[in-house]
Amino acid sequence: MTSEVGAVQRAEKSIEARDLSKWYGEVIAVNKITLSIAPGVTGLLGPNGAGKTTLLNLIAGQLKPSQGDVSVRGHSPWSDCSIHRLAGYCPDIDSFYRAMTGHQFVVAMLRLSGFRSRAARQRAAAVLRTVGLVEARKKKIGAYSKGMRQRLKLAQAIAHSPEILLLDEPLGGMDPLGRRRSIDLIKKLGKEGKTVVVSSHILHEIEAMTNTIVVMSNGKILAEGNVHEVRELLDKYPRKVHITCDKPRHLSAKLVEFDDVVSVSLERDTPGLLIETIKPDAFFNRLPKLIVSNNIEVESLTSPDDNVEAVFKYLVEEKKT
Amino acid sequence: MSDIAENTALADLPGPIGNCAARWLYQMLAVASLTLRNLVLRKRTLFIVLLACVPVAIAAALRYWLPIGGGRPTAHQFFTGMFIGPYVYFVIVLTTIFFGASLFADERGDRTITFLLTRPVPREALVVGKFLTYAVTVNVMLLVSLAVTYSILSEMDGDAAAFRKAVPFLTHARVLVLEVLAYGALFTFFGARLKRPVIAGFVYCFVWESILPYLPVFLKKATIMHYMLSLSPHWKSRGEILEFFVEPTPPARAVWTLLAICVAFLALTAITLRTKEYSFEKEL
Repeated sequence: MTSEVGAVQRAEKSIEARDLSKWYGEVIAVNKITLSIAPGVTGLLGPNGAGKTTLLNLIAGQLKPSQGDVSVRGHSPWSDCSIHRLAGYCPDIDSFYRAMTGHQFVVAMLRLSGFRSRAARQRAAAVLRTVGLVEARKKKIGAYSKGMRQRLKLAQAIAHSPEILLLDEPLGGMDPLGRRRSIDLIKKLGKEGKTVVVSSHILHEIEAMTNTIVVMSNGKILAEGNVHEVRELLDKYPRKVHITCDKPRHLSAKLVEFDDVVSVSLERDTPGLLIETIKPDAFFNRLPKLIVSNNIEVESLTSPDDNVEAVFKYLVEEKKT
Repeated sequence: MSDIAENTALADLPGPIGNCAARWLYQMLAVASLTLRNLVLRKRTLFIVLLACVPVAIAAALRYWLPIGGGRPTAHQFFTGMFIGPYVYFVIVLTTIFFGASLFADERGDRTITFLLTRPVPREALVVGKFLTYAVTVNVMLLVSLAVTYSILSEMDGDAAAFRKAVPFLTHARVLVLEVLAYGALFTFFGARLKRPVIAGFVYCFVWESILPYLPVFLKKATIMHYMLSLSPHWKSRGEILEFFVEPTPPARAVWTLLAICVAFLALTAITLRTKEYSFEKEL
C-alpha cells in the first residue's frame, strides 16, 4: 500500500531534481538541489545570480548536470530531446530571427516541433491572439518592443500545447497590460493542470501568479512551499525602518520606549535614524501619532527591508543558523 | 489569420505528425527552410555571390580583350588554370568556409540556437536539414558560375565542340560538388564545435593545406585537397614540388573517401550538438 501511494506521489511530480549541481570552473551555479515540482504554477524566486536560469536550463536539457540528476516526467532532459514535445521553454535571452514576422517565427517553431504547415499556421494564429500579438503578427520581430518580444517568446513556448512550461523571467519589460494578460494566462495554464515553473526576482510578480514558491540564493534552495509561510519567516526578524527628520535625537528617545523596537541608531552625518522593530505593523500604526504629538518634521521614511533582496538576506541568515 | 476561427482553443487544433519517419523528414525540411531564410538574408551571401562572379568576370575579360593567336594560351589552358586557381583554391574554399561555418555559428552568435535545441528535433535532422540547405544553395551558386565561365571560354578559340570534348563540364562539376560537400561538412563541424570557426577554417585551408606540397606522402593523404586534386582532370598541371613522391588516389576511391569525410564530419556535428552545452546565461 505504501509503495502504491509512493508511486502515485511520484507520478504526480512532473519535475524532480536530486542532489542537482552545476558548476562552471570554480563557480557553483546550482548547489545540490533536491526538488519536486507538481502540476500547477510554481514560482522560482531569487535575486540575480541565484541560479534560477541555470536550474531552468538544467530542467530544459540545455545544460548537463555536473552532479546529481534531474528528470522531467521520468526522462532525462539532457539526453532525451523528445522531452521537448512535452515541455515549452521561454528563455531569458532576448534573441530572435529578427527578419521574421512574429507569425512566421511561431510557425517556424511549430514546424520544428513536427506540425504540418497548415496546422502550424492555425496554431500560430491562435496563440498570437492569446498573448495579444494579433495586431502585430505581420510586423518584423526587429520592430517589436521588448514587451512584445517577451510575449512572442511566451507564445512560442505554449504554441505546441506542452504539459510542462519553463518560463524564465517572462514578465520582464512588459507593459502593465501585457503583464496582466500574461499573469492571467500563466494562472489559467496552471489551473488547467499544466506544470508551470516561472522564475522572477520580484516577489509580488510571483505572488500574483501562485502561492507555491521556491526561493533560491547562491545556487541553493532557501525555502519552498506556500508564499505566506515564507513571508511568516520574515516576521521572526526585525524590520528596519529609516527616518530622516528634524529632531532625530528626540524621536529616538521616544522610540526606545516601545517594547517592539529592538534598536535605534542615530546617523552621524545626516539627521536620520535607523530603527529595528519586531512588530512592523504596530510600529507603523503608532508612528504618525508620535510624529504629530511631538511636532516632528519628517523628511523621509523608508523601509530598507521592503525589497526582495532583504527577504533573501533574511532567509540566508536563517539557513546559516 | 483567416484560416482559424475566433476563440479556437489550441487543444482543438491538429497535433504534430504521428508517424516518426514522416515527422523526422518534416522537421528536417523545417530546419532546411529556416536555414535557407537565414542564409539568404545575410550580407555575407551577397559577398559570396560577388565572389562567385569573379571567375566569370575574368573569363569574360579574357574572352573579349585578349587577341586570338600570337602565342596566346588556348581556351583549354585558360579553363584549366581558372578551375584549379580561382575555383578549387579560392572561390570554393572561401564559400565553404563562410557558409559551412555559419550554419551553426550564426545560430550561436545570434543566440537563436536555444530555440532549435528546445524543440523536439532529432539532432541528426537538425544537421541534415542545415547541411542540405547549404549543399543545394552553394552548389547551385557555384555550378552556375562554373557553367557560365565554361560557356564563355568554350567560345574563345572559335571551336566550341573541340573545347567541350577536351574539357568535359560534368567532370569538373563533379569535383566542385564533392569539394563543396567535403569542405562544407568539415566547416559545419567547426561551426558547431569552435568559437571562431571561420578562423579555424582559414588556418586549415590556407596554412595546413598550403604546405601540402611540402608534406610527406602520408600527410598529404590526410587533407581534403589531396582527394580533390586526385579527381581533378588536371593532376599533372599542378606543379607541386614533391609531386613525384605521391600518386593520385584512384578516382573511385577518392570519391568514396570524400563522401566518407562528409558523412564523418556531419556525424561528429550531430554528436557535438548532443554533447555540447550552448547556454547563454547572464550568470556565466
